[in-house]
Parts: sequence; C-alpha cells; structure tokens
Amino acid sequence: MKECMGLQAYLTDAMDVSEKGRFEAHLADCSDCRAAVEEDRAMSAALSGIPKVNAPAGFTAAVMREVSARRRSRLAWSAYGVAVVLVAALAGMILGGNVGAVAGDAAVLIQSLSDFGASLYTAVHNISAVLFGALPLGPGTPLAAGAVFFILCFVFYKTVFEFSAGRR
Amino acid sequence: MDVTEELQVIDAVLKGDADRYEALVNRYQKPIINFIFRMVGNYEDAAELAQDVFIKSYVSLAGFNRQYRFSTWLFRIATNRTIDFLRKRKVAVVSMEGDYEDYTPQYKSDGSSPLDTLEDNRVKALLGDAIQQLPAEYREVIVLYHVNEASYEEIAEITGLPLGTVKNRIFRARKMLKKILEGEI
Repeated sequence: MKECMGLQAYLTDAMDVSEKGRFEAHLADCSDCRAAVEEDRAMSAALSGIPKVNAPAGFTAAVMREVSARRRSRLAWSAYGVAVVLVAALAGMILGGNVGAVAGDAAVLIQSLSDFGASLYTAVHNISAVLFGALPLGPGTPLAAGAVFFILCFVFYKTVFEFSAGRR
Repeated sequence: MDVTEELQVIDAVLKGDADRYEALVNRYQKPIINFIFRMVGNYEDAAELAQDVFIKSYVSLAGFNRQYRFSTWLFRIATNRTIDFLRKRKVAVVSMEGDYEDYTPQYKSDGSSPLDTLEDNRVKALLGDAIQQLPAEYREVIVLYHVNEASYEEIAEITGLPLGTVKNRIFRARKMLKKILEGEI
C-alpha cells in the first residue's frame, strides 16, 4: 500500500483547516489513503479500548505509611542537625570563655564565636607554623575565623539535611 | 479536584500537613499505575514502581514547578522511574529512530486481518501484549496518548520531546503495532 504525502500530518492533527480540506478531498480519490486512515482509526479505537487496571487494595495506605515514615525521618535528621549546630556553637562559647554571653547580648555571642574561631585559628596557625611555618595572623583574623566556623557549621548542617533527604 | 485545589493541597503538604498528600495519591493512583503497567507489562512491578513514584513525588514536592500541571510533573517522574527500571531489567530496546523491521513476531497471522476484529476482547489483550514489544520510546508515547489520554502537548511536556517528534512516534507506534498484530515481521 503506497502512502501519500500528508497522511501522517492528517492523522496526527498537524494540518490547518485548509490543508485538512485538501487532504480530505484527496481521500475521496485515493483508496490507499482511505484504507490507511481507516486502519489507523481502528487501531486508535482499539488502543483506547484497552482495559484499565485498578491500584491494588491498600495502595494509598501503603504510600501514606511511607510518607509518614519519611517525614519522621526528615524531622529527626533536621532536629539532629540543629542540635549539632547548637552544641558546636555552645562548645565554641565555652571554649572561648564567654558562657555568660549566651543569655546576654547577641553581639557578645558573636564575639564569643569569633574568639573561639580565633582560638581555632591560633591552633591551626601554630600547627601550621610547625609544619609549614607560613600562616599570617592579622587584626581581622578572629572575626574571619569566627565566620569560617559558622560557615562550617552551616555546611555541616546542610550536609546532614541533604543526607537525610536522600534517605527519604 | 481541579488545578487550584491541587495547588492548595501541595501548599498544605509543603507546610507540613503530610496527610493532605493522600488526596493526590487517590486522584492519580489509577492513571499512574495504568501507565506503568502498560510500560513494564507486570502488575506487581507496576504497583511497586507506582508507589516509588508517589514517594519520590512527595519528597521532591518542594521542587515542583507551578508552571506545569501537577499531573505532568508526576508523569515525568513516572516515565523517568519506569525507563530506569526497564534499563535495569535489560528489556530489549531498539534505537528509537531505527527501523523496526527486526522485531520477532509474537503472534502469527491466521490469514485474517486482526483489524477486522479489533473490538474483540482477545485482540485487545493481544494488543496490550503487543505494546510490550514496542521500543520503550514508542511505548511511552503510545501509552500516554491512548491509555492515559494525554494530549500531544502534555506528552511533549512530560517527555521533553518536540511536539513533532511526539506525533511522529505515536503515528509510527500505531503502524508498528499493526505489523506486530498481523505477524508480518
């Protein structure tokens, strides 16, 4: 059976009204195209008549059980991440010698973290000095080190969060 | 449930009311399981994959792009999950643009045209099985179009294919099915 130009476009609604009119006029004269159109329509009708299946009993309940489990897991990991950051921050303040700042001024809190960062930096500096003899210690160092510490805490928290999300 | 209601449910779920997700599962479980069933040809696998799809949809809901319909997004997850499953199962998949003359026929012709009796239930069952012989790329679009009654435009959005390619594949898939049923190949 030969296939005339435009058959596919006609059967996939890819023709505008005038093209469609012309092709339908052609159909009146072309038995091959008429047969092809009839066959395609019969196939389409048969495909649309394929029986549907239902979801198994308890499908929704099973999905929702898993959803609840994932949600609990996510909440647990989030809480864990928050706890880790808080503990790390508190540890920083304790090590920085400013525990009282917790209940006080936020600026003091930040200063404490900066001090802790500075302590860490100093430690790293001393170790590095021994190992490599090359880390500069300037006036902005405590603040920068505190910021780095905060960023590290944040990265750790996000990593934990993403890990927990990946398990969901 | 209309589009606005779906968005309200999605907002509620994102705010922590996970129970509201049940409405979306109830709404879409049948279309999703039918799509996957016709793709993989096994009901147990389809049920398991459909469950995965709804879980994946739940955990990824924050990434739902509101410029699409939820159903489009959900079917995109379903197609990706199903294609991944089929790859792992190593189902015979022929290059999507290659010809299909090499397929081994599953049904032998008895001389009469199957199209004469397409309304017959037996032929419908055969047709369902014949879909399994299509390359996954063709199976995907023919199932979405005829079983899930998605429009050409929706299928293009779900699959990420150009509209013309979608139409071409659907047209060619119907021709392949006819050949498979006739036992000509």
